[in-house]
Amino acid sequence: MGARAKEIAVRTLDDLDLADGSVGGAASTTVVVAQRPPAGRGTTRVIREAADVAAPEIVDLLVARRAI
Amino acid sequence: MPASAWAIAELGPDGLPTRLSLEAATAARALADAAGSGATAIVAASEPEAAAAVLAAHVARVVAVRLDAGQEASAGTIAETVAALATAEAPDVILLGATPDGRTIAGILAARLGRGVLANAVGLAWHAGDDGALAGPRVEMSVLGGRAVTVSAFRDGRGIVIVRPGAVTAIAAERPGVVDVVAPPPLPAPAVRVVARAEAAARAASIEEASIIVAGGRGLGGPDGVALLHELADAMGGAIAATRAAVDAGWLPYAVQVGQTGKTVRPAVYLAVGLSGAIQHRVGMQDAETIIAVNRDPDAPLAEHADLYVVGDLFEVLPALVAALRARTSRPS
Repeated sequence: MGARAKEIAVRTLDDLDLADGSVGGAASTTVVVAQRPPAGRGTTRVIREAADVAAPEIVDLLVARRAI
Repeated sequence: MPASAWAIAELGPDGLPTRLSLEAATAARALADAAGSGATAIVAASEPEAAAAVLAAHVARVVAVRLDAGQEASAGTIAETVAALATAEAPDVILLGATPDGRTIAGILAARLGRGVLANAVGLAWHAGDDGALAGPRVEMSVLGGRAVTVSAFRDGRGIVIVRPGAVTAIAAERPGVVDVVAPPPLPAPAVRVVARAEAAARAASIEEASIIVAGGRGLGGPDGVALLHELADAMGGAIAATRAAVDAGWLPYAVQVGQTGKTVRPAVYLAVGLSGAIQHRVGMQDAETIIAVNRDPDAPLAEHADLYVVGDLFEVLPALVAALRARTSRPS
């Protein structure tokens, strides 16, 4: 495999003239202060009936949500 | 000195601020009010007065930068303009909309001002710093494809926030603000020049502003399915959107692509047709208020995220739905 034969160059922060505190978490300008699961959307209502039944159900939902 | 908040406006084809810009202005006002200061909106254009008047309804002050003849209102020009103004006034928080230009401007500002960026905000509030932490904005972000929400802060309380559509509702202030029309600051020659512009179709241009979106995926199958999708959008008064698969197939333009490699939308209703709801698509639409899906596959991922999931053939359900919508709208009220 050609990829295995390729040289992997390793550079330290000193090689790049970078101070320890200038990279990584220590240098981050932002911090995560909390995390949580997203709010649930509720249960999904599934319709398996034919189109002439499903279509009015969709319309009813759009009306209930004041979308139309 | 109380912390200050700026919103950077983006203009639509009509030369007026987009809805997302007014949402960012409203968010800036909420932050500034909580911090005890006033919010400022920045608009840069060759003729910024009309846009400034609209923005003034939402914030205490508008700085309207009248660009010189020959200066185009590109993201680079706006970013350099804002950077010059911000260097002089040092606002604590700068808000931009989550659009391609908004992200570009945020990146340039971060480099110019040495500030951090919090992207894809779905909510934000002012933290008074009464718990030992620095005062500043606390920014809610949807991460890991919507599987978690994080709350982040700037370590020094100051930074740049990219706001997603619908994170706040645009609401006018009780009193209109003042408008200062100013000449542009000295700007470096733009590194990028726009050499041509093409106007997107009205529907393509509007999906981030639309309250109803009808989206199609690979299940559309081709032009016949796309025609049905357009018919449904017309009947609902909605905009058309697409998955990457439908765009890659050449059925719909990239401008309407929603998802990881497209736009993020947050409409009142997202009606998904012939698309499975893979995570790459869901990250762009999962915050819609109501999600309705029509798909033959009962086990598609969207079945777990939709409010209403119709298991059926779109070529049967859509004509019936269009007929039902038209029957309803033609019914005397």
